[in-house]
Amino acid sequence: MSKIELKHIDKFYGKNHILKDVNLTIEDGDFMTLLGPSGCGKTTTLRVVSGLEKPQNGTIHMDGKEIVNAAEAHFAPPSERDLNLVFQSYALWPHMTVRENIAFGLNIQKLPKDEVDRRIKDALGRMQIGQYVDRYPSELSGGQQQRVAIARAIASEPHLLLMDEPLSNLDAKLRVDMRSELKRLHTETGTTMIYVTHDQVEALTMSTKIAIFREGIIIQVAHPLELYNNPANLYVADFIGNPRINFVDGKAEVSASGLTVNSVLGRMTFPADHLKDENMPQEASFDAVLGIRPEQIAINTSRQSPSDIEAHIYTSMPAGSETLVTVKVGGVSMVIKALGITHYNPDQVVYLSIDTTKINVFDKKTENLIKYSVE
Amino acid sequence: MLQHKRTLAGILAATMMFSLTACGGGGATTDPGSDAAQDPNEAAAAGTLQLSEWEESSGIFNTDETDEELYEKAKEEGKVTIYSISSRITKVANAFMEKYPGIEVEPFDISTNELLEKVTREYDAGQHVADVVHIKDQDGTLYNEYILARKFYNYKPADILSHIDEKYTKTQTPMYVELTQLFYNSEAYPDGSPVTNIWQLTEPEWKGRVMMQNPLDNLAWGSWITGFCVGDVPDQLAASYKELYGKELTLSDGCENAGYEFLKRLHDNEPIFTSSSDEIAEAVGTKGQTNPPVGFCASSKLRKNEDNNWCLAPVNLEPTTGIPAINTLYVVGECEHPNAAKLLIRFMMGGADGDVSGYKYFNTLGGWPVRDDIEPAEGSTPYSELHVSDFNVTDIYENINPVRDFWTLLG
Amino acid sequence: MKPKDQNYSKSRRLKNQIKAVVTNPYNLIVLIAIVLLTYLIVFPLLDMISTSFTLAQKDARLAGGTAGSFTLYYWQRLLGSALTKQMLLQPLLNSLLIGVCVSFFAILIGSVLAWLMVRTDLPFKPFFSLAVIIPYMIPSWCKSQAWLTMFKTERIGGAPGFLMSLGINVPDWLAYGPVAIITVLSLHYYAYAYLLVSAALNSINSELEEMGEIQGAGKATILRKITFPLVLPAMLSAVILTFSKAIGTFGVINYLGSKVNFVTLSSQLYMNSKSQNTQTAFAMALIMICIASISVFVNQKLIGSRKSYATIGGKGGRSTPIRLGKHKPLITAVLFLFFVFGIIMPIALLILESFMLRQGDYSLSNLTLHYWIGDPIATVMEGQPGIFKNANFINSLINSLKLTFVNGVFGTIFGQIIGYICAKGRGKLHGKVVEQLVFIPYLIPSIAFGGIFLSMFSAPQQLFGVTLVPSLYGTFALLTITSVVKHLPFASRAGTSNMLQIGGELEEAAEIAGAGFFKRFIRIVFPLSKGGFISGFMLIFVSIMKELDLIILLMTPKTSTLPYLAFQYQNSNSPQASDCVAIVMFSIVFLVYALANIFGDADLAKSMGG
Repeated sequence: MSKIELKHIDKFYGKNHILKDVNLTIEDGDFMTLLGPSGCGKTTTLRVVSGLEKPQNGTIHMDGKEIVNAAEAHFAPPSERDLNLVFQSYALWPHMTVRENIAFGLNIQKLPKDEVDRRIKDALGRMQIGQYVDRYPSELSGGQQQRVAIARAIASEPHLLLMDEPLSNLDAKLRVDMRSELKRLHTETGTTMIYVTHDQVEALTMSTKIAIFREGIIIQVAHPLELYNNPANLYVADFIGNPRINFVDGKAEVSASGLTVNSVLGRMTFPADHLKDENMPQEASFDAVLGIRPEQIAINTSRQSPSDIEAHIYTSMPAGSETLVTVKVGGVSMVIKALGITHYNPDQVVYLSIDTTKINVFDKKTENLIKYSVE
Repeated sequence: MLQHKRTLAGILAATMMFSLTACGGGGATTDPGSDAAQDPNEAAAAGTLQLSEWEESSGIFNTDETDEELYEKAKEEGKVTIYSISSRITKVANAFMEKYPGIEVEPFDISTNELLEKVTREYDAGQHVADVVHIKDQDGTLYNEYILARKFYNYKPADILSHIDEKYTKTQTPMYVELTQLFYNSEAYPDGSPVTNIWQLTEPEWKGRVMMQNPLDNLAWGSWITGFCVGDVPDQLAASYKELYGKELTLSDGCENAGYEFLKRLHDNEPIFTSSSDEIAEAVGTKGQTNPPVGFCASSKLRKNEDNNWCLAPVNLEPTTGIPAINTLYVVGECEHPNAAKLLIRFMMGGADGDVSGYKYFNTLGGWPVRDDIEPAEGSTPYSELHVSDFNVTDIYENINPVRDFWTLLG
Repeated sequence: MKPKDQNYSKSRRLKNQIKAVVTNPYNLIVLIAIVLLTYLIVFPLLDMISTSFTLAQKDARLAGGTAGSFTLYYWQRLLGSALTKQMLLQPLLNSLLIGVCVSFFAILIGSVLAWLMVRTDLPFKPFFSLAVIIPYMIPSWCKSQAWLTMFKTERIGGAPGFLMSLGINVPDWLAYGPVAIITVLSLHYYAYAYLLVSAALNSINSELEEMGEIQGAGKATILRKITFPLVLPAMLSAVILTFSKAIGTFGVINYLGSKVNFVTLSSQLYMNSKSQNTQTAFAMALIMICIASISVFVNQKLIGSRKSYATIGGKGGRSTPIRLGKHKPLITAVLFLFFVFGIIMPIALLILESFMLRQGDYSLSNLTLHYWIGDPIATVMEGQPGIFKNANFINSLINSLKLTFVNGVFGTIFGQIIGYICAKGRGKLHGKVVEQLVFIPYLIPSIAFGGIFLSMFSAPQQLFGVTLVPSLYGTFALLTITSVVKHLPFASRAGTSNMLQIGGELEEAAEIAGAGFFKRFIRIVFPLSKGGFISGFMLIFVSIMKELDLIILLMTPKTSTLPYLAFQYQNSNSPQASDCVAIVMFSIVFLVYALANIFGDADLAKSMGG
């Protein structure tokens, strides 16, 4: 059991307000990713959870047990939180061999020798680096050092594993390998994990939940798909997804039957039950932004339906399994992801069809989501 | 920031309180009422001194004990520790232990400043380690601040003191005398010294060619220049000037007397300062120079002439070569081995029995015995022929700082 | 925003806060360090301050008032009288001139040497890396002497200088005064910069430099833009050490400056102290403490704003030497010349003199081993045997070894701990307090410091009737306490720059693993800082080996040391025997250094993976 609840966490460095009233619940067995650009407070959150930093306000509970209560200046030391941490820089002790690095914490726990040996063997075996047990960190490649760092963290069999951008120093191929490795590790051990990254692909592929950070505030916590389909606001929508989401400005009108948006894409109507009422502006008419994922647009060389929108090809970039096509519609450019290899000539006229149930609509003023994507 | 300032102010205030109370306490113990300015030896002889317990038990004011009596008492004490400014003390200690078996001497050779600092700190802390101190009372501090305050004691054995001129024994227990003399290179000047009158050193011919130590460097040189400005020395200087040049000396602004005037002119003639007497001796005495300087340095450097193949020769300057430096022995107050201390002092002063085995190490070229019954080392100019000023502890003590300030102002 | 539902109890908060402070050994250590430093440093300082405001007996009549009463006499004389210019301003300007110039040149020489030694493919490295540290081991008077032997002019008489005897006319400004002093001191003090900078360079991953190379930067640009900023903290540390050493020294200034009447604050201080003007001397020392405090403060501002450069990362480092290319022969030749003149000459002179029966006589017949192993001859050295046949010497040798090793080890340990506090507390109040405190002992004149400690510990130290420290008079413990505290400035400097090199994550990783403070210090921080530890040890070892003034007051007649013996021989007109002792001292220091270098290196190479 390892459920972590952060409530009203505030963290200041001098006058800098780094974490602003952060509330986050991590359920047992979650793979929670803290995602955001650098400097947004995600690493700080991780360090607060680990006990390396003390927040000025708020409480943290772990399995119902209070481990941080800032008001009462109660901060359980890291060693009492049954967790381990993988640092971005790995923080392998350069004067110890791989074995010594891993055994260090185990010996502090006063585990019997054969148990220590077993755990070292297990951890290294799991990370497939058993043969390097007597090497010094400097004698290993970056990827191997990374595995040692993870092995060191999992050897203590923590209930909570914290990882601070562990893959950011690896090359692309290794990163992909390690991703699946970590995901397997998560499913095999069932350990609750908190993972910090600024790489959305890592976040989307591995997590069970993602928390999006922006300037010390958590904007949205959701499952990866939910996050992708229904970003809470323009910021999240823009941050998640590669290639990026297309934004099209429009004029919205609310009526009893739903929402109507007029834009270069024509007039679109969304039924009322697809709307997010609490974010809906009071005005009857307001500026809105359509958020359309590149794969939500189908492209045809001939008109298939009257609602199709005429567009001009700007560029076409085949990328193997898919082709990224940029088109212009009334001065607005949009990226479209088409499956397979198709070829278009510049300035060729094409017709776009958009499934309006799937696209998002945002209030331009508040930037909040006002229309869900519905499958 | 304000907070800081307040704290600082608090600390300062506390410090001052501390210093005031500390001094109040200190004053009470070192200032025994009206006795302050009274010479303890004279007062004790006159019977007007209220003796302390230690003064009573040690018999420090006794003048008539014999070597034998003291030896018996000293054997019970077993040992004696002496702090000395001379490296020869080790040999003296060995000679003493040979003559008086059963008494162990611990000699400690240490330079003046450290010696005084060490022995004072130890005394104030109640650690009575040193029994005897061999030092020079260069500026009267020892008499005025130690003897009168009854921290140190002059032990004055009558039988030995009868052989010493009273002017030396009034404020100290003297062993031998050293001088700061002018030296010249006898190879370059085979016909004798190029300088005979002290005023010649202020002539253009000797500009930048007189060597000495900076009088601000240490106490010995500070008191030496003070010697020219006190007592009847300024008058002698003025007379000597007239004799040399046939006209009256005119005093510059800020010069109180001929002594200050001499210092000013000497300073204006850009003497070369060195950091030690040895350097001066080497600079002046090295053979093979065509235009060697003259220089003031400790008379004891004459001893090194032969060792180093130098040709140093002393000058008996007109009208005076300055004040002497008197090597003196003191008994440290409250010490644990007073009788052994007294015996050691008698031994080092040359004893009463004509045995100079403890004295001979100090009776060398460049040092003169103060006793009329001990001949100076072979080759020495008899002390009586030397032009030496009198050393008056009070004059020097009171004037050394004004004279030092005067010298400082010269630049 | 501030939730009221949070269960909140003031008493529990207080309890937790106290518990957090008390159970964290780091806090305790900081607390203990501050209390101890306050006791051992602030007390002597207050003593000095109060002394400078207390009228001495001999000045009582002149200044008016009674001995022992409060007075502004000394400060007024120093700061606002006709004497101010001569006593304070001129010397102060000279001190600053010497301090700034020596710092500049010493850092320049030291850093360049460190860079050449650590980063380049310089040939004969093992030889150079030993030779480069030697100047620090030779007493500075020895170098001044060599300088004079070389450049002496007719001005001061005596035997002609070497150049003059070749018919070369040396101008006085070169032979004596500021130029000479700055040269000799720079050659003496570059060792600090060398030690600190080379330790920093050693811990920089050369990939950082290679990255620059790949970006197309030339060697000079890499040096200027990458390497230099990375070692800057170490260099600034060295500046502080050198600057305060240079303004605090008086031996060389006395020796080379007095001939042209060049005085500095330190030589004035020394003169006043020798003339028993203790109050004036203390007032001057306090002014010097202020100057140094300002420089430490400036240093803190400089380093503090740059954060720390954690250069030992967890990823291990590689080091590829930079090729000197076609400049190699030239640079090697220059270095050889530098060593011949800066290092070998003074030592050769010292050794030669130790073999000369009579000083200044350079004929072959004058050479002798007498001062080393001779039996007593009545006419030489007042009948004392050569040093190796002298029981006194053996005794002093043992004492010195004991003193330097014990104090070196203790001093280094405390220095590293305090360095750790300074590094961790950088930018925080406690770090600043400790850093400032620890620097003060350096500027208290040795003799005053020794004297104050003697007084402090001669009687048992009591607090509320409980004896905290028994009377330590005459004990080895007192010698140790005094020299450790006096040398803390260097030890902790070395410690700080050492600790700044260790990445915080390495320690945090151990904290996560459950290692307590002491375990972290012993298992992680200490092994990683071993190189700096050894350098720090050498720094203290060497200066304690040479220490005289400080411990002479605390010694009992039976515990003499080698410097004391050398001083005694010098006093008794036996410079040759004094030279012998100096050579022995130098040899010991050199040997220890060589051993530390060999074994220290071997260990480091293994654990850091080259």
